[in-house]
Amino acid sequence: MSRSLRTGPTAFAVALLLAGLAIAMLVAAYSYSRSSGLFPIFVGWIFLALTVLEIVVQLRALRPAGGQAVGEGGAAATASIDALREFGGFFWLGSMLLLLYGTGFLLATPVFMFAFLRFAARRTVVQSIAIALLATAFVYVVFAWLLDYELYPGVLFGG
Amino acid sequence: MLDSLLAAAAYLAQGVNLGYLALGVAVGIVFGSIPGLGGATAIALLLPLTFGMEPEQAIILMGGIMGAVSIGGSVSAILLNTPGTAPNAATCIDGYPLTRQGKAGLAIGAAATASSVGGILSLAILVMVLPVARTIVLWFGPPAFFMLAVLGLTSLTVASSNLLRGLIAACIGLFFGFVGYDDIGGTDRYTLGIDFLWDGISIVPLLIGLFAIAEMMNLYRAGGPISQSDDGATVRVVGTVDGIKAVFANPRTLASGSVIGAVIGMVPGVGGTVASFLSYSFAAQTSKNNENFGAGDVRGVIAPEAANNAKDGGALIPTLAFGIPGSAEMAIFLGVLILHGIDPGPMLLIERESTIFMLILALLFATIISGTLILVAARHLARIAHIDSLVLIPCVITVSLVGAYALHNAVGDVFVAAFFGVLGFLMIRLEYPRITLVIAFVLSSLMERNFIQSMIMFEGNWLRFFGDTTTLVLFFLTLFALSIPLLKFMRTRRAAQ
Repeated sequence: MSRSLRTGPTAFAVALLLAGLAIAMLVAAYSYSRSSGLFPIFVGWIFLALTVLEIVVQLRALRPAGGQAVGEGGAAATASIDALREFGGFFWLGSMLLLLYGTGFLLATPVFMFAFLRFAARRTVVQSIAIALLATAFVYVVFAWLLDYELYPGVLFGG
Repeated sequence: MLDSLLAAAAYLAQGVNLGYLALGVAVGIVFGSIPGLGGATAIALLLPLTFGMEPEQAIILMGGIMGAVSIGGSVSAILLNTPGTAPNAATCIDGYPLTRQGKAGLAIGAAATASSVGGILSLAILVMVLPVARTIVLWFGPPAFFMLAVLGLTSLTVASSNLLRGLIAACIGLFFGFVGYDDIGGTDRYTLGIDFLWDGISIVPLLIGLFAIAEMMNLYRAGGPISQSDDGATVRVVGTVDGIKAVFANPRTLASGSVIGAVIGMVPGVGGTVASFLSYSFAAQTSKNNENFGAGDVRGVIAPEAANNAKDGGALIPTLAFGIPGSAEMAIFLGVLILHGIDPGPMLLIERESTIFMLILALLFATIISGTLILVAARHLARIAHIDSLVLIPCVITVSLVGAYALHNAVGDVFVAAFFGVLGFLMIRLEYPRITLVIAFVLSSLMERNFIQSMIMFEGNWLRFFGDTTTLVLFFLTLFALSIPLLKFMRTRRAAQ
C-alpha cells in the first residue's frame, strides 16, 4: 500500500507553495486595471486565507505524535520504491514530451511506445515493436487520415 | 415540444449518427469496465475526435458514453468485486456474493435492466422538469447567478472528503480561469509573458491532463493488472433472464432507486456514489425480508444500479439550465458544449430545444443498447479489467497528447496537457479534489461576468448582494452547506466523548 501524503512535510511544503501562489496572484491582480483585477483580488484574498488555514492544519499535524509525524510512517524501503515509481511516471512523461517536441508525433510515438513497453512493462522485443507499430498506425489513421489533422513534425523537421 | 422531439429523433436515426452513438456506447462500456478510468477519462480522450463534427453529432457521441459508463462499471463490480466506477462500489456488496453463489447471470441481468430502467425513468423526470426549469431560470439575475455558482462550488466541495482542500482547489481552478487576455479591462492576466497564453487555457488540454494523463501516472505508480481477481475469467454467466424478471418483480426498489438517483443527481457535487449508497441503504432498511442484504440479495443490486444511472438525468438539469455542472463528467460535457459554440444556460433551453432532446434520446438509446450488450457480453468484458496497466499507459498517454495538440494544431497545448497531467497526479497523491478545480475553471468566466455586472448594478456596494431575495436564499444555502462538515465534526466529537 502506498503511503499517504495527506499530512506531513510534503503536504506542509505544498501548503506553503500555494500560499506563495496566492500572494503572487494578489500582487499581480492589484497591478491590473480596476475591472480586470476586481474578481481576481476577491478570489485571491479567499485563496490566501484558505492556504494560511491549511498551513496551520499541517503545522498541527507535524507535531510529533508518539515519536512519528502523522502520515509519514511506513517502512523506508516501501517509501523509496514508491518514490521511484512516482519519479518514473514523471520521467516517462517528460521523455515523451522531449521526443515529441524534437521529432514530432509520428517518430516519437513508436520510439516512446517501444521504450516504455520494453523497459517499463518488460514486454518482449517482438511484442513491444508490434504494439508500438499498432499504436502509431492508430494515431496516423485516426488523426492524420480520417480526421485530417496536420500532426506536429517536431522542431528538427521544421515544426 | 413534439416538433423538437421528432426533429431530434429523425436526426439521430441517420446512419452516421447511429454510428457515433454506437461508438460512444462501446467506448463507454469499455472505459466503465476498467476500474480507474471511468466516464470522465473517456469523454476527455474522445473530445478531440469531435472537433470536426457538427455539435449535435458530438453530443450524440458523448451521450453514448455517458449512458453506457455506469452499466459497464457494474460488470467488474459483480464479477471481480472491483467497481469499474466509484458509484458501482455499492453494487459489489450484493453483486459479488451472488457471483460467489454461482448467480452471476442473475446479478448482471438485474444490474443491466435496473440501470437501463433507472436511466429511462430519470430522463422522463428530466423531460418533465425542464419546462419548469426554463421558467425558474429566468428569475435569476447576475447576483443570483453568481451566488448560484458559489453554492454549486460549495456543495461540490462539501461533498469532497476534505472541505479545506476542496475550497483551495476551487480557488486554483478560478485562478487558471483568469489566465489570458481580459476583454473587459483590456489587460492580459497571469500570462507570464507567454504569447500562447493570451487566448487563455483551453479546456480540452486541461481536461485531458487532469483526467487521462493524471490517471495514467497514478496507474503507473500502482503497477500490475488493474484487477487482482481472477474470478471474471472463470465464472459462468447464465440465468440473466431471471435477473431481468427480478427487476420487474421489485418495482418499489426500482422506483425508489431511480427517484433517489435523479434527485441526488440534481445537487451539484453529491454525485453517483452518494446516490447509489443511499439507494442501497434505503432498500436494505425498508424492504421486507431484508436479512439477506449484504450476502447476495438481488434487490441490493437493483437499488444502487437504478440510482447510479438515474443520476445522469438529474445532473443534466443544473448543467443545461444554469451552466453549472454537478459532476466531473458533466463538467467535461459542458466543455464539449462550449467547444462547439453551445452556451449552456437559460437561452439553451429556449433556443435549442431539439439539441436537448437529441441528448436525451442519445442517453436513452445508449442506456438501452449498453444494457442489452452487457447481457450478451458480460464475461468477455470482465477480462478487460485484467489488462496490464503498463500496456494501457503509453497508449493512453500518446492518444491524449495527440488529442491535446489537435485542438489548435498548437504544440503549446501538448505542454499544457502535460502540465495539468502532473498537477492532476499531484492532486491525487495529496488528496486535493480535481473535480472542484475543473468545475471552478469552467465556472470562472460565468462567475466573473456576473460578479462584475452585479458590482456595476450595486455601484460597488457589495452589501446590496443581500438585498435580492433569491440571492439571499442562495447565500443562506451556501452557509448551510459550509456548516455541514462542522456539524458532522461536532457530532462525532460528542459521540467520542
